[in-house]
Amino acid sequence: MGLGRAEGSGVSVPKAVLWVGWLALLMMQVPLIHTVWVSFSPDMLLTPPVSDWSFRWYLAFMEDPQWSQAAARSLVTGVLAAVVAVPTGTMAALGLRSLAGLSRTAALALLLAPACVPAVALGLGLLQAAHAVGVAGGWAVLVFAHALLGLPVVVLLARMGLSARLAELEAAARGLGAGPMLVAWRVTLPLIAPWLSAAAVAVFVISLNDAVVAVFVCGPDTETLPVVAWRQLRHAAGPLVAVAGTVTLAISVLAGLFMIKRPERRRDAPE
Amino acid sequence: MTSPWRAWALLMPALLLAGLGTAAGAALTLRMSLHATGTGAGLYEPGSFTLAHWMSLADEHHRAIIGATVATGLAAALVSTAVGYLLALVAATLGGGRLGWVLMLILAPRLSGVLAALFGLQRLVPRGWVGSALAEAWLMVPYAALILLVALRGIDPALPAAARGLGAGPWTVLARVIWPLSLPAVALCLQLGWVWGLGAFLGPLFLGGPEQATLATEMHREAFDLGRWPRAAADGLALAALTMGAWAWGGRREAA
Repeated sequence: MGLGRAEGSGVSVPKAVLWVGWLALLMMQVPLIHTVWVSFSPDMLLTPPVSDWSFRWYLAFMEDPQWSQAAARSLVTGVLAAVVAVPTGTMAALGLRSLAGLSRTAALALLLAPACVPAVALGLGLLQAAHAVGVAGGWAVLVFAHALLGLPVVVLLARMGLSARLAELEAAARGLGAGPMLVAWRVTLPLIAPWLSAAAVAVFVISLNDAVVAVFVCGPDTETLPVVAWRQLRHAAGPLVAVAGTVTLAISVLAGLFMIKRPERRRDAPE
Repeated sequence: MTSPWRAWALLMPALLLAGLGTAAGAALTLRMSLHATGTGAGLYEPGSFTLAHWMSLADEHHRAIIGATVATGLAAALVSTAVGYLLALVAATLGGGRLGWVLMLILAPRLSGVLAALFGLQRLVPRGWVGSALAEAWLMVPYAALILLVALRGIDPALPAAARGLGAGPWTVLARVIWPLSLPAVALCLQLGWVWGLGAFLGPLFLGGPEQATLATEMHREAFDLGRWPRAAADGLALAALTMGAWAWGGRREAA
């Protein structure tokens, strides 16, 4: 019985187990492949096309204001959520460094709470809060909700970037006479920038893919792509849902590639 | 390091965001759960007070739903941990760019539009228990695989090599060295999977039937299909309490 190559971690795995693992990885992609395939169907039948492929439903998607406007709203909401969550979460991660004991535990628990509470319960709570302050169904509450969903990820990624080595460099800069603002601007932020860009992409992708919380907080004028797709999926899913899924998938994959490639570029850059 | 007051100033925007979104939302949801269902345009009847929605959580209907919620969580945790282990083993043997690509594929269920995946799953997986649990597990596999990958990459390469040097075959190395060393991560995945599984929503909603209704889908049905928002609020708070309790129980076990 052969062994899988230990290129990464030195873990040697029987080839039969590796084959089953690769098969599982392939099987996990089947629903996505099926959706992308169906999106090129020339007719209303939700079957993957074999000989006749068509962009008919992509054209219909772009021409239908309900879908195209929802797609544009999703993109803008994702960017705005990242704009809110990344600075907020980064500041929180910086603040957490100076706390200890119970106060630190309590602050961290509250910051990570949005990731622990089930999304449906979070959505219902946000709907109530939006009603209480009179912004229900507005764009602001949607951006707020998606920033909230992304906050734990930003805090965790920023904390990973704020390593012990970084603390030494900051101390060295302070020792050379730099003030707190200069240290933050010239030392801390440049060194954690790759983590923050990864966090921004993560928040964008979370926002783009959120359907559960959005179903609660979206109004008729702020429906995002997943919310429009949700409605159709619950009742009579058509090929346009497959197109919406493919579009979302493509944007998410591009964002994911950016996340993977950026640290590689940084590693390759001259010192 | 900054002074404590500056630390709290830095933390304040995020704490406000998280506090308003979770704690204030929960308080307002609790308030709504104590009101009668609205008869007009409002979500509830202002000025009313009732404990009926909370009492209904103990009825037979809700007991069945809570049972289904726990069962779905357990099934999703078991399946996602098993599949995640296989994927982590594959990723652990890779390095460099190939690892990046495989990670992209592992993360695909989270990176892709979840509804795109559900569209595909609806056509490929039978509705009912199997579909509901599989869809939920499918969404949780990336987390399990990442946790297990970190654990596998943390194993000292000298240990499997030493076992091989002593004549152990590949299956023996996997069963007697790698598996025992990764058991704490497996336990963590099962625990996280179960806690997350308690909030199972998309799988049961799109691939389950009435028998697979969970607290989350019941809450959604009460709110959007039946318009009984206060009852949905009680369901939602019960779900949040169940989940937070499971987190706290897990945290205590970790600490012990």
